[in-house]
Amino acid sequence: MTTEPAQPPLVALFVTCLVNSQRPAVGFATVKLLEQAGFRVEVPPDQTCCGQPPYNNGLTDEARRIAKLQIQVLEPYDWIVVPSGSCAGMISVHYPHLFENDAHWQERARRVASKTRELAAFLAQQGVRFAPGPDTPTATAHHTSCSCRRETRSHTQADGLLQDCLQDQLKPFAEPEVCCGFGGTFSAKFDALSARMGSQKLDSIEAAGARTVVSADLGCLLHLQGLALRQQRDLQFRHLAEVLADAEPQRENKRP
Amino acid sequence: MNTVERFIETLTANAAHVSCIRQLDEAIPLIERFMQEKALPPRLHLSPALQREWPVSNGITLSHGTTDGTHKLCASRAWAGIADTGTLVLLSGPDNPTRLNFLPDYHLVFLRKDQIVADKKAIWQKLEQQGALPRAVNFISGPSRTADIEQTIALGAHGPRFLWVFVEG
Amino acid sequence: MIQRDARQFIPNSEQALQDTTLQTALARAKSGFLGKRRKAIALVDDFEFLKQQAQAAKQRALDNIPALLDQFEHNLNAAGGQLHRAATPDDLNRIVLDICQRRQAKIITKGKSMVSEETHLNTALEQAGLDVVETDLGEYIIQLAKEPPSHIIAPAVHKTRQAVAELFRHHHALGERDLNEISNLVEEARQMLRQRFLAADVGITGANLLVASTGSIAIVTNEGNGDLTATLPPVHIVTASLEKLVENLEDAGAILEVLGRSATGQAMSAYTTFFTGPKRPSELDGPEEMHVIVLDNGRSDILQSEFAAMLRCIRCGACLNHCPVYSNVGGHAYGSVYPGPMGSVLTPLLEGLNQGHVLPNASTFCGRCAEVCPMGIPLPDLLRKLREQEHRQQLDSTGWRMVLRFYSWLATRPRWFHLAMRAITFTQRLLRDASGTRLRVPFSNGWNRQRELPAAPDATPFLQQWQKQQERKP
Repeated sequence: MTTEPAQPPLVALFVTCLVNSQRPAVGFATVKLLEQAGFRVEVPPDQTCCGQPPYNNGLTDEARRIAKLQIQVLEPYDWIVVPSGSCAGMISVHYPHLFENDAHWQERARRVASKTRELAAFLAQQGVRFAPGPDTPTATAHHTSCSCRRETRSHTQADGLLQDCLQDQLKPFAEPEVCCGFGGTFSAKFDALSARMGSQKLDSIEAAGARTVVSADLGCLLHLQGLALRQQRDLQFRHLAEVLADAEPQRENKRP
Repeated sequence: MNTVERFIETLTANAAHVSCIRQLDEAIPLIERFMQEKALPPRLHLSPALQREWPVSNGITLSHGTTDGTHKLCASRAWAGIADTGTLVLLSGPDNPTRLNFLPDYHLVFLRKDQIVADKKAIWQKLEQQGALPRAVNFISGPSRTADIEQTIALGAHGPRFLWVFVEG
Repeated sequence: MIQRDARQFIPNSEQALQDTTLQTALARAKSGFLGKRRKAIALVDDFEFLKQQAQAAKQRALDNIPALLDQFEHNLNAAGGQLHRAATPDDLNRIVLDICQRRQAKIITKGKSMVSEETHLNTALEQAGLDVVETDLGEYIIQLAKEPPSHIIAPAVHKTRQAVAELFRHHHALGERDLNEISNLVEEARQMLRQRFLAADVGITGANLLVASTGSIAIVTNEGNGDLTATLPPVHIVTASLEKLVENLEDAGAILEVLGRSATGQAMSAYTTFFTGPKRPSELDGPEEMHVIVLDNGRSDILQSEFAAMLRCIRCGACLNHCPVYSNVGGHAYGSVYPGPMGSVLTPLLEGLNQGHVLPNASTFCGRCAEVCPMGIPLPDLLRKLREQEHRQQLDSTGWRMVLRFYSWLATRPRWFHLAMRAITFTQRLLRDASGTRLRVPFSNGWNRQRELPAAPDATPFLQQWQKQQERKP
């Protein structure tokens, strides 16, 4: 799978198990954005999961086995783009740590890590810009996941992209840096605490006058949406990829 | 802003009172007026170091030595001042009993301008050069305070409620 | 009633979430701490540089602990003080008790010491018939309430002023008086404790730093209670842990630069004192004896382990204040001496994984603790390593272990994994409610006790849809 010099770079979409099973539309929106930006996109069929559930629960050996499979599947590509901060962070930050006692795999993990980007980080790196489109939501709050803020560190890039496309409809809210309480299995193991943290997040979002919540992480979104449904809050939840795919791409999005 | 001005600013921000005097005897009328305003008995307890250089002050009854907590106003001499944090450094010794720093309601500290340094770096060097340290090296940055109830700052928790620094020179 | 058992974190935390008084106190504390720290750091040109200096100073010490302890002992002896090495909490308590009994002490005043909390020193002294008085206002309040501290630097942070007033009315027989203002409460405590300071036979304090090059111990307070405890009684006993050692005064200074700013948002606390030995012959005051007890309690082993970074902790409390878990449940829910992120690492290390294994799970790995830690301790990584140990020792729940093992088995077999994904989306389609927005689940589990399961709009996973699309393409 070598890249012809004349062809645009080849991007692997690592779709994540949550997008794959819960919101396929986010996957298609991501493909659209990557193609708009002038990349060839493939979806490696043997990708499964980044391995966070076992990794964050102490099943490190299992996580290592899962990581090896993803590394094999992803290493032929020029870029790996992930519509999730936490899965991108798992690959780009944690994979190399998983192989601290295995030089061969650590090198392979490092190479894959260096080519892996969270979606917003990748788009911003390509210099793409957006303007509001017909389906662009109004009164929207951007919830940055902790992994986007502290692992992939792509929250300012996502903010920038959203600022362009939402303009004055992007509503700042109190304490954006505080966790929403999802935390993967934490949300089920410590459900009361997780629900309290999520409710606090929804309170500050609503207090800012927002009616739509956008985030680059589907885990946070499903957790917050589940709470909003139970608490009968009038809020819509959309993934960053969907909002950007609905926006009007600017001319400079095309690769030269 | 020079080091002395910075020291006065930071120490004041730490809720201490600062008075600039040219020499020690200028402090006497200030202290007398303060005692009258606060309706305090005109008694002042001095560290032995200060007692030796204290000028005649007929309006104030003086005592000296360490304290058992019965002295409301005590005065000590500092060894250094740190400008960037508004901190006094006092060294214990026969001339400087440490109880005076903590037991009175009002603690008066005398410091010469040339004892004020920019930051703590200089202090560590000065102390290390001394060889063995005195029993207690007290860094004091304002009056006693606590925020243990509802995060609200209250002065005078256990130590002095009022810290008054006289910068001489 | 919240149980003092780290294994009960989940029921404890659920109870804490329902305690409206606690919630009021926690909300107030959080905004107070965060704002003060933010302001203090904004006033510094380069806080990152100060952090690096502090971390380097601490690391130099941790790399050389045995030699530094010897040097500390040598210099402390030269100043007339005495060092005691305590391997276990019981050792420390016994050493303190021996000194108290030799001096025929009756009244003991105490400055704040987390090490003495760790060894449950008060209980040991009280059982021996001694009258122990905590003098830090927060510690005094919780001593009256017979509670453990709920925060490492603000022990009574969970109490409102009304609760404190109630305690004072009950314990101080002072008749009718106005206790509505915080200043009144502080004044009353001052009066009550002043008598005890003057009457005490022994004063016990903690230490923020042990300086090897001078044999000094440093105490940082705002109230001045540490200094009164160390200065007034004829005997001063210091309880400190091994990792408080630093090489010299400059290294001590580097740590002080970040401690106050991270803890209370102060460039320098009201009082920082370096004590070096007891009263000198020519001095007018100071204690006749000074003893420094250095507690190991497993720290020498931690130093050799993958958890060594935890010993860089200077107990500033910033990780507690910024933790979304701590700030929602408070310190008591942890059921351990040290709460919050630092406590969730330390408790299993000090008390054993059997006792502490739940705490490392009580984190979303949001990473804010590591972000604010002035000593650069990678707290989430350490928590994850503890979860790994929990799993290896099979202390995790069997149900979760089975689910995660099965999931991992699937995730290394793409064919099976994608079949399972199809099965999940298919089942979800069957469970959709009439509105199509949520799933009807026939049982209640951790997820849907307080949340809905939002329904997926598609019955087919993305990968299958994508592959079909690709096949249709020419």
